[in-house]
Amino acid sequence: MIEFLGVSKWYGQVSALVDMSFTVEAGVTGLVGQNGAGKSTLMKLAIGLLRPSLGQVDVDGGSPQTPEVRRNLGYCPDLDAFYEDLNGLTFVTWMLRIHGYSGAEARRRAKDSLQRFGMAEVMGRKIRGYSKGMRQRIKLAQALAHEPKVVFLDEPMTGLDPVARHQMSEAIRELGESGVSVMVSSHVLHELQSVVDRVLLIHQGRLMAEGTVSDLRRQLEDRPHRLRLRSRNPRELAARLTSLEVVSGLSFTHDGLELATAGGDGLFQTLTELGADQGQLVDEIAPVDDSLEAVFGYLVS
Amino acid sequence: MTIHGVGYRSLEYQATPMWERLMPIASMEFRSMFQNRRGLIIFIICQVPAIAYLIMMMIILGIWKLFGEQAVMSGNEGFVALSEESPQNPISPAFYVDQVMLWSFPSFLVLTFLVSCRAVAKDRAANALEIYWTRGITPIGYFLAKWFGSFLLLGVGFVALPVCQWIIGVMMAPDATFFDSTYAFMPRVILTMTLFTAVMSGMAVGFSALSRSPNFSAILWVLLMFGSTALGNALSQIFRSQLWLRSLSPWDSAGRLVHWGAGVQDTRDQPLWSACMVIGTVILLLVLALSRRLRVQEAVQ
Repeated sequence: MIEFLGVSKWYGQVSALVDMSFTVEAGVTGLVGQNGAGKSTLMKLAIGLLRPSLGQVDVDGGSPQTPEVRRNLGYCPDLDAFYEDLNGLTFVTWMLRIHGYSGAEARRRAKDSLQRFGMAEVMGRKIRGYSKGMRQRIKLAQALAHEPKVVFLDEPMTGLDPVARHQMSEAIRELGESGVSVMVSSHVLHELQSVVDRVLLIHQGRLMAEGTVSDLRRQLEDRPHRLRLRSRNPRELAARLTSLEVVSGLSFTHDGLELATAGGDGLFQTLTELGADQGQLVDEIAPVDDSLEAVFGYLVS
Repeated sequence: MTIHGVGYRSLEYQATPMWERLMPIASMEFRSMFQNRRGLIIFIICQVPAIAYLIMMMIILGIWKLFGEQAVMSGNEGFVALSEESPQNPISPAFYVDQVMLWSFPSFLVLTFLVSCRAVAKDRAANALEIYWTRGITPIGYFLAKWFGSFLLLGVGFVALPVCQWIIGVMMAPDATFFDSTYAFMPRVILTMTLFTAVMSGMAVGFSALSRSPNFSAILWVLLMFGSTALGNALSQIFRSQLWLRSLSPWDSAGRLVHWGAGVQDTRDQPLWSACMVIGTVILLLVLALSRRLRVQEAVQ
């Protein structure tokens, strides 16, 4: 569990984080914010690399500055921190030995961890020759090899191809499901959304929102929801919808309509009826702005 | 490549002593010179003064008869023929001290340029410090490990090889005269050379923590060491009565202290107080700078 209680952090005159309070339970939590929003500062406070100027940070029941807490902490930095002349196996083994495992155990665990991340065939090669994807995997392998209870992943998707991203997402999701508290920061919001249970939205050093993406979207009542309606007869559908009070805007798309609504159960009932009609005016209803990206956009704007 | 399950296996964590966790860092530092053939060749070349002194000792002791049976002195005749104070005489402490102080300055510059004065800067540039700190390694422990690794590297030429020469001399000498003539001063010589190596390697590693660029800190270190020696020599030549000017060079100052510590006559006659002041000031400045530059926060700013 990660707990921030009234945490503020200043760098001289510049405030990086202001009065941040939240709790992160087991599962995957996404950390979302623009560049300079304070994501890295927050993550570094949580892993004990920085001390808060004000407030308190608790990780797994203690300060992240203490060795007991750090023992159960895994960190995958965004930048490549490698000794290029080492091979992957030696790198992860050394990291485990620094963590406190004996030589034999460290080597066994390193092999195991690298195998789990599909690096079995290349673990003997020098890191210098690794692709970006391999480097990301090796960073993740070193972060998880000691089986930490709390894991921080800083931009783990960066530089990965779509297949590797999907695999990485699956691995992160599995980690969260196994009861580990995982905090992930990423710019790839649509992929982050598929992984996280909840998100922390940070803007200009302040916690703007927290919760699941759908909860957050529901709370944005002043923003009309937008729905994409696929229809074989969009003109007739438009004629029927314009008479509804809850519809605040309509526009034609290549295969139907895009509709803006202030909400209301009446609209969805009407749409269901139109879909079930003999004319079958509505083939498909899909929300356009229920995504993390859209929610983030609304909040920031 | 695929990512397999990342489920934990809940293995027992067995705490190991801190020194055991620091050893991989020290080992990495020491081994960094030997990761390619070029490094190994350079290292061997750096040991030339010690190897040359070993050969000289073997000739003097009559173990190696380079010039034919008739031309060389055999048994104890060699070192008995030389003055006891002669720096070429293996029964003189000057033999073991001067091979380092007079002939190993280039080796020292090369080894520190390639390894020691890059040690921390290299990790800082690669953001490896972040990973170390999150694994419960303290800045002091980290510095000590780097220092120890660098000490071992320099210690091969400055301590281990002179000791080996002495042991070879004792074992190969025809009788116990060599041992009887040397055993009284050797512990003092070994201790002094060990301290000297520790101080100089500590200075180099400390210097590496001041910069983020390994190349910048290496070049600045060599310029400082070489420049101060050249300046000290030049000024002491110009102002012949001001012998303390020679102490401007940390190498020469440390040399003065080594001669004093090992009980060897120093022909340069620079005062002891100025040598102590220079070494003390450099150490104090480095400690002050390190206390600021090696804080955990420094790793991430």
